[in-house]
Amino acid sequence: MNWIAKLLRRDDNILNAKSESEILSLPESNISPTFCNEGVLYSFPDLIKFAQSPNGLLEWAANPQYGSLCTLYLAQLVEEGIAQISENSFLLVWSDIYYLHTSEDHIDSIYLLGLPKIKKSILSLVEKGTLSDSNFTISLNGYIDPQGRLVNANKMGAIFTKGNESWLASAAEWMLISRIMDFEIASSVGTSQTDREVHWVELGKRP
Amino acid sequence: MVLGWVNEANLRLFFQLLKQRGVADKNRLDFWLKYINQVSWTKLVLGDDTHKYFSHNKEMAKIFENEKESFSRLNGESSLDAFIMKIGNYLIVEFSTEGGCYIYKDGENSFNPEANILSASTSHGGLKEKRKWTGSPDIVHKPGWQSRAESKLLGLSIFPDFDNNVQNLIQPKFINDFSSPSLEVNIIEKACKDAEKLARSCGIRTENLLYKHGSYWVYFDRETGPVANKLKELGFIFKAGKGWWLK
Repeated sequence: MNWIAKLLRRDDNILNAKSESEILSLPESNISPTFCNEGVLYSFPDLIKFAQSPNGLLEWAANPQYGSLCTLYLAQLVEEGIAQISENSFLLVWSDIYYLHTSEDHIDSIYLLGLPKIKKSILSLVEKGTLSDSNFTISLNGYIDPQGRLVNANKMGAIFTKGNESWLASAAEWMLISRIMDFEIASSVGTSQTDREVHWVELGKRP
Repeated sequence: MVLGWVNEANLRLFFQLLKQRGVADKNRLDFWLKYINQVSWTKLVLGDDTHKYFSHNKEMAKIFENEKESFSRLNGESSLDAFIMKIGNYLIVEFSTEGGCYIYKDGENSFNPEANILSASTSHGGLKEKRKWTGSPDIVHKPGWQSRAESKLLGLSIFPDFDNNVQNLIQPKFINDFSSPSLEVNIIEKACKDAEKLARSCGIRTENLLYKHGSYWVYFDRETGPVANKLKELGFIFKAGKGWWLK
């Protein structure tokens, strides 16, 4: 795990001369993620307090009393400018999640984040009205299964859930989903036919 | 060798001519500029009215005289001109005014696009010959035609520039003149393509407004971190609340 090597190479002895094996002996995870439209949240009481002092976040995350490999990894992601602190939560927006999946530095550590696996789907869109209608809408109404059937699934951000199964949409699907979300927002404040046509063409660039 | 900038110059010349003759249609110019990097060959086909117009407008006549290898004569309808361009395996014939636009797959047309004289007829050998079997042009320039045309082209796997990964396979424009604005355009295109690739892999949306003299946008609203650093390296500039832009 490259991020552990980076931590150990630091000159400020932030980990109190801990060895790699000591770090790896931390519990793997002590938190489950929650999902929102913006991304993935990992919430801890008083996190903001630790984030405000220099190195406070890393010291807290490496403390076996509170921390885990997951928290230490999240703190390192904040150091690298990937994760953000949002009140008492670590926030990874969806583009951060996809970035981590493409980065050689992180590919072997993503499992620590406890995320569902990426699964490609054929998304199904439904249009109501025509582009000349001021109340024209377009929305996601599920996905097409391998048998060609339309299946409904719950969606939060880029996470789909059907029964006990959850999965992460691919990066291309997330782009389509975010375009639909933009279209919905734009429709709610009123759009011209040209605006609707532009959005419709954008949606036509489906994965 | 046909250089990319020659194709763009011809396209602009065609629409400049229409404008000068009072048939301005900037929308069409803007539309086709979105695909200009994929245009591998162009030809202007000019009708009788345009040739008469040249006799009154020496300046335009001179421009066309200098570019005469790029144009042919159009017989049939004196008021019509046409612009022929090749994109991938398709030959696209865009007529002036109400002539519509016809798209021929390689081998589907019986006319020779490189001939010195071409006909606007719907008969065998005419630029509109497809109308015989389709009943109408592939693109009709009625209000809202751009989205229909873009969908039509998407159906032929022709995507606007930068939305096309296949674009990487197309030979870049190269002019051995470092003072040339085209070289600058080439560097910007390369940066935009790299940004597009990065953005796609991270599920980040982009928007290309270069075709209408706007910017190429990467909607990533953060100034730090590895993605931001890469965009900075590519020459993009950060605008808080929106993302990164380059033009």
